Amino acid sequence: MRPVTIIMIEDDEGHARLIEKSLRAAGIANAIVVFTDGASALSHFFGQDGWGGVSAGAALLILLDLNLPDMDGGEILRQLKQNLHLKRTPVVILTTTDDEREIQRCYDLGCNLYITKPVDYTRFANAVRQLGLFFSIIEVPEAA
Amino acid sequence: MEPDDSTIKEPTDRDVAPKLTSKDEDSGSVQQRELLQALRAMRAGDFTIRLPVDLLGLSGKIAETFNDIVEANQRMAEQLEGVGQVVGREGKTRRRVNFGLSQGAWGEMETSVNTLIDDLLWPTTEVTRVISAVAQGDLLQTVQLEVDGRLLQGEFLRAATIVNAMIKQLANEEIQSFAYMVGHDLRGPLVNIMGFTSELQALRDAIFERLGEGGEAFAGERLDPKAAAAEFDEAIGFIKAATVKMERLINAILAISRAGKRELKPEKIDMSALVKGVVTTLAHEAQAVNAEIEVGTLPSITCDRLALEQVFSNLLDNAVKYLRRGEPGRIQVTGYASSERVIYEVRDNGRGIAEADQKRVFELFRRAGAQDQRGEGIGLASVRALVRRLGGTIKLTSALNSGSTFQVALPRNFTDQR
Repeated sequence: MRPVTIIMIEDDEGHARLIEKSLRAAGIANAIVVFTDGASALSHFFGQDGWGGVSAGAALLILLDLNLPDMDGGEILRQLKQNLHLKRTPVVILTTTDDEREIQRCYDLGCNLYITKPVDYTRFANAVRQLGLFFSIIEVPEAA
Repeated sequence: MEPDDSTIKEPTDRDVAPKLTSKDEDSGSVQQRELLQALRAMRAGDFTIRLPVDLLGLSGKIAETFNDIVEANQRMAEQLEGVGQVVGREGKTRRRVNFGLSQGAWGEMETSVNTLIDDLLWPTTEVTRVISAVAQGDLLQTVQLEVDGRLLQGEFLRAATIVNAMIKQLANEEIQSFAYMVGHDLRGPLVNIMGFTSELQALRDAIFERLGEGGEAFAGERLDPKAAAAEFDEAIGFIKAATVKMERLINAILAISRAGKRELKPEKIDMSALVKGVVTTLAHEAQAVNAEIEVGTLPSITCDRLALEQVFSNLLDNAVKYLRRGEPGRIQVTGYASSERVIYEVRDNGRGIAEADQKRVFELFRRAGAQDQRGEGIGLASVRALVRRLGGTIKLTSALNSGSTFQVALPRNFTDQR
């Protein structure tokens, strides 16, 4: 089993850095790769041909923000969960939206966890740290 | 409706095609008998009979007058039937009757029929006016329940109340989605400010704790002075960037709010000159990316100059910014006029906008496609707000990698109705 890489899709670089700091504080030492827009994340996952073969064999854990500058994060989630190679890769939605319909939509699309970013930073850091502790115990399957 | 005895009865055998048999009817002249026959036919609803007018003297005058009366009746019948068909069946609300006679009871009858049509139609006209305004994005209109002293009643009143409630709901949703977006986007930088301030505080605590232990803070293992300085710099950098971003967002919101309040001053505008002026201000940028902007002969308009300059400067700025790499840019501005509206098109051969994003691009703070150009996602949102304020609409036709066309349709004569 390959070491798990955490892919973070987060348009705000500051948020990405804070999340990374909190994950590190929880003892997560895995590689963290950040994409600040949807298009570059999609081309990383699915490659030039768009089939996703490039991800085969990778062990990924995806942290996805819904409010991206260039597209709706839900669309990325849909494409991931419909892809032959990546459909089993855990996707955690980490976003500021706590709208009930949005939460339902994401679970319908197959997200594995939905977490609302707390506004208050202490709680925000705490939530991400707990997420980090959770990451350290879950099993991540390799992409097909 | 219950049949009323006073309404016109079906003609009976007695009324139609009378045969002159009785002694009384034999007594008059041939002309008199013909006149009686014609009068009876008219009474029976046959308006096709005419009397010969080539008679001499009084008989000729009587025949002429009779023909005039029967023609007027015929015209009235045709007009009523026509208006019933056109207004009632085909829904063409502008048609009114014209009997061609304005004297006495004829004129009164014509007026009453047309008043009846107006009374029946005005609620429909009023509701249509409001619904078309709403369709064009104007959510400030409501159906008036009383126009010129006439009150909406019954089903019309119900329909009007429902339409008004729907508009209120739509306006409310628009405000809510705007408030949601603004709230969300302002919260982003705030999280950074609070987050990195907390990080700084934690770092500061660690440093001062070590200093308190005898001044050997920077010699310790846990606190590398270079790393600590780098963390300080990083945190301060993010805090500064977040405050700058927040200021830009707030300024953008204020600018949109100000633009919405500014009094619009309609004036006659030579659009070709206006757009060429905008193109001149963009000449440098266009040259830098090898783009050519062509301005056709544009129909003139009566509208607010500043608002139009903002609209076209935003659209052309976008066209220059979002070209396809390696492809020389060709941007065209064309226009044509219809009876009440003028339509201008800004067409480019740039990277285009995917169908899924075509609605998003008009929303505040939302952008689409590759994020390789500076911007906050404000331009098209304010263009749409301005065009709507000018009583117009904006339409986007585009496909990814094959250019975009923004079509702005505006009233030929803008009058601020607020």
